[in-house]
Amino acid sequence: MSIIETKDLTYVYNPEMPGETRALDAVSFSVEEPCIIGIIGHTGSGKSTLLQHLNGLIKPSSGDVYIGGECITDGRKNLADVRRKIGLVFQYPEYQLFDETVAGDVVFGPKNLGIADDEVDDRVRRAIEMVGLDYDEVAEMSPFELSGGMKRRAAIAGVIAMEPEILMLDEPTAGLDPAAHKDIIDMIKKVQSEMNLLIIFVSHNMSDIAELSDRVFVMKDGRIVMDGSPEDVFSRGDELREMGLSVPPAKEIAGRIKERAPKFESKALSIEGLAEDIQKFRNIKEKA
Amino acid sequence: MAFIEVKNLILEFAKYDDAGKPVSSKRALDGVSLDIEKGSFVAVVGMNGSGKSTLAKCLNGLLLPTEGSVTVDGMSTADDEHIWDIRSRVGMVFQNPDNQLVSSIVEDDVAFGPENLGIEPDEIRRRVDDALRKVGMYDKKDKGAHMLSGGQKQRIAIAGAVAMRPDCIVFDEPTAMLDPAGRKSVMEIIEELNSEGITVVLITHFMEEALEADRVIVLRTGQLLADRSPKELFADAELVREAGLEMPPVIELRDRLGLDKSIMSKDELVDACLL
Repeated sequence: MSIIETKDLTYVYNPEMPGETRALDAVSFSVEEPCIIGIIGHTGSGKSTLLQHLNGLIKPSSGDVYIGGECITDGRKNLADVRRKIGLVFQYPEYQLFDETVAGDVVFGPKNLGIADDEVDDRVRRAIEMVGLDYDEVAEMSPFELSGGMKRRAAIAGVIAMEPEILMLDEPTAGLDPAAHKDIIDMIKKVQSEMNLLIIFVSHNMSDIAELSDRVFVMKDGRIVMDGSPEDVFSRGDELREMGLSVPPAKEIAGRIKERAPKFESKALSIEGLAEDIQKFRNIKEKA
Repeated sequence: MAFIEVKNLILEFAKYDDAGKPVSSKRALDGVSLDIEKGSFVAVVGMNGSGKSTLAKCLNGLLLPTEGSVTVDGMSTADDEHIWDIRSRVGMVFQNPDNQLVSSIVEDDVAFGPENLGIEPDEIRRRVDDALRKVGMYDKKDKGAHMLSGGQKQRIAIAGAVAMRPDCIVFDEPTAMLDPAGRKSVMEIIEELNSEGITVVLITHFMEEALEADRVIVLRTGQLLADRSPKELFADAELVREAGLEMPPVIELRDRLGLDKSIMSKDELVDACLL
């Protein structure tokens, strides 16, 4: 049984009006195992619209979404139950922090689920620790006293405390300094492996996509036009560039080397991997 | 005299209790001094909360010094008499393209600044057309701003600043929310404007963007940690780490391969790899 599946998911803005736009156009995919899925696409390609369909925030014009085999779009399913299972972290989630304390903010979601008090406290502690913050240190602090990266992690803890089966994040690293950026990357890996859930994230940062994703969707004009491993997707650099996207820096540099030295081969997506491949190539050349 | 002179700049934000009484204050900038020469391209980097955006807002008097001074072309930002002159010389472009467009139609948005300067309509027309051509958006001049992509909106925001004919534009993380094509086009426009003589101050978290500058200013907890060329900064791994930054990919690869420290661009790197 699939964790999540869509069939011909279509969403039309302004139907039968001059501004009619297909934001999603017959999107079909299925995910069977917990993993990390990265979605890329230029602005307006349908990424955020897709996320909003997956937890029932938007109703499709046609087509269906299935969560754990159950259809959530036929109107029979209680969408509150769906949203409990699927956590959505919006862009810049720290702007949505509102409580006087970090713990107060994180507890808001689970409390609204009607969970017993002692269970809620446990969940809040677990969620705060899960995102890499020290519960005893930050629980009673105002979220506004935290640094930018910590604020974002506190906001994500609020969604994790709902203990979703699927976690979706829209641009989780945008606007962070390099150190905070790395913390979020590490956090996403840890959340996925420890909670064994499906994570779907959208990003404009190709290095993040390459580092985190088990599978990458490339969206264009409301459709998924590529669906494969990061290695496969980023080996199609010319097509990506035509869509206004790019490849990770390691891939771009490798491409430039290959233009001048056709025998050079590297599948590396990280600078570390590329350095090894270049070193090997140079050693072979030296011997020759 | 440098175009912008920042001297011992201290900026404190006061915290107030419920009754509105100040209870404590936080120093966002703590004794920063630097000069920005006319026509230069200066990048400002540092961790979240290091004071970058606060510094940017001090450069055209959106924030005024608690202590110390900021002068633009010899005029102090604290001097009421000069503040409008300063703001027309030092323009600003912010991070979020959706928060800085004021009109629904592209050309009206670009005209907003010059209109407020009380410029003649014919001259406004010339400036708006000229600014839109510079950012490659002339053919979209009568389009609705909401129809544009993030990168296009950001180019309109830049055109709005350009139409003021400023000497300097301060960009506060202008590419943080853009897709790869949007980022590329905005960086190309910034470099183009600089090559035409506009002084550029670019705040960024992307080290490969800092690499394009003549000079990089590194802030940490409100203090100036370093002020040097990209070449000197990225030769100092210890300093980069201490500032909570990272090496640009080209430099990281260069150092992993033990290549010469003078290599700063992808082209130079590829050349060195093939030697």
